[in-house]
Amino acid sequence: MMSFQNKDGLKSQTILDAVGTPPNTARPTTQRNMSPVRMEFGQSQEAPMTVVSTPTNNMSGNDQSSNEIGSVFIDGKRRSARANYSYSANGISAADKLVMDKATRRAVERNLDSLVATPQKGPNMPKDTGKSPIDTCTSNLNSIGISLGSTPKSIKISNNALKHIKIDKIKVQPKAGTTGSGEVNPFSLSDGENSEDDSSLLSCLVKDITDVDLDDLDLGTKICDLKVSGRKSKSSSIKEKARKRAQKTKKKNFPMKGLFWNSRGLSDLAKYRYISEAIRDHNPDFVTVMETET
Amino acid sequence: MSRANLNQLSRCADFIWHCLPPRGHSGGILLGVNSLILDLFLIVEGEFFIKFHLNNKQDDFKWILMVVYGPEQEDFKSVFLSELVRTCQQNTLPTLIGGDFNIMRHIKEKNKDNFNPRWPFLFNAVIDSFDLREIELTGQQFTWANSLTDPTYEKLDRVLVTTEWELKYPLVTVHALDRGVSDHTPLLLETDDPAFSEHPK
Repeated sequence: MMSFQNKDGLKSQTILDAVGTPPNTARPTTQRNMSPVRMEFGQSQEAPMTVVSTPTNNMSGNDQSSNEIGSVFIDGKRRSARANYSYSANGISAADKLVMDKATRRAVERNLDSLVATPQKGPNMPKDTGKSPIDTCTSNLNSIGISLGSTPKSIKISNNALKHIKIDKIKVQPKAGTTGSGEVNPFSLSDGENSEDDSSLLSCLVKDITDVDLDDLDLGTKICDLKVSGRKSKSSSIKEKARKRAQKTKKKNFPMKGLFWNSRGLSDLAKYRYISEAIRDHNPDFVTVMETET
Repeated sequence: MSRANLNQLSRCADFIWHCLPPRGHSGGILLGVNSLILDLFLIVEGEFFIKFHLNNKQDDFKWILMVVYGPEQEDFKSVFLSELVRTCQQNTLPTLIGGDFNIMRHIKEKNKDNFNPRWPFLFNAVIDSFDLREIELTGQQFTWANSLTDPTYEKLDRVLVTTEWELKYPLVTVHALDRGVSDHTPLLLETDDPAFSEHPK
């Protein structure tokens, strides 16, 4: 089992790189080829996941399935006729598993054409090709002097750990806006998830890592652009707010003056002059005089 | 007082004057507003007050300016207070009430010991019931003095505002001017603290 340390971000990055770099892969071409069919966590742009949930759908572009016709009803549910249904104890159809395996394999093929040992697709494909990414990365890591483990179980655990590092990385990245793996917290790892779709997950991992590595420069400039424009809009909005506030306060604090005076009569000239001078001096907006006549 | 005299009083300023003529025990009230700043759209007269419903032309702030002149005689103070209550109940707009109420509020508003707490008690009850707030007077403690050798000082003039009016002009101040030729002190109300409004930019 590997041990990660927070400071040792470089090391983990190296490991991830090793996972993501199968031998004989020309990275630039791989990256370019897979960009149109990139698969993200939680959302599948392409067929695989959809196929699993609705077995009657034909896999688009699959020349095998085009030979299969129609659907059959099993236990009142519509099932694809091409599948030979035999349910396992937990109720999951073995054929469903098969379809899923195929789907994930296809995704792997599209994303990383050379990752799978035999890119040729078809029914003759060995069933354990789904595990080949793990084998590949084990051998990769071995080549740089890191062993994932001696037993298959420990290899699987280490593999899950790597996956979680990648998941954390993806979660952190959009917020921090950085591409480095320094923010990855290796202590938040947890083992023992279901390994059903290991291969597809791993392919996503691999793809994303190569993405990041190759697009490092582009990403940097993009982030800079975003920051600049963001700052611009922010400052302009602040200015506008300040202007609005100024208008508001100007309106609200429009000065008003008033004069109250009990003059005890206004008939004599002194009082009359006093008010007149007070109006001239203070320029009030309203003047009130009480007891104008005594 | 003639209209020509009134116009001369305000000189070049475009003032609208309204006069409550003296009747009975009230000495009459004169109220003028600058028509360039304030739109006068309603006048209400009472026995002891004039009410102007005004609209500030700059910001469309509608409010009521109420000027009161309370009676000096004890016999009419209850009539005055009940009229004050009645007219305050009718006010739906932010209101400013100012003038010579001829009633004190606290014993400290008189420099002599012969303080009758009856009317101050009722007056304070009215002020409390309408959530009015008195704008603290600056410059002087009292607003009236008699001409005896040992003069009596009292605070009879004041400015009260409703909560809504104070929200509109939270920095309002009332300052006592030089007493001049009357035995009452003129009060100058300013909605902006002069210290803050010296630099309008």
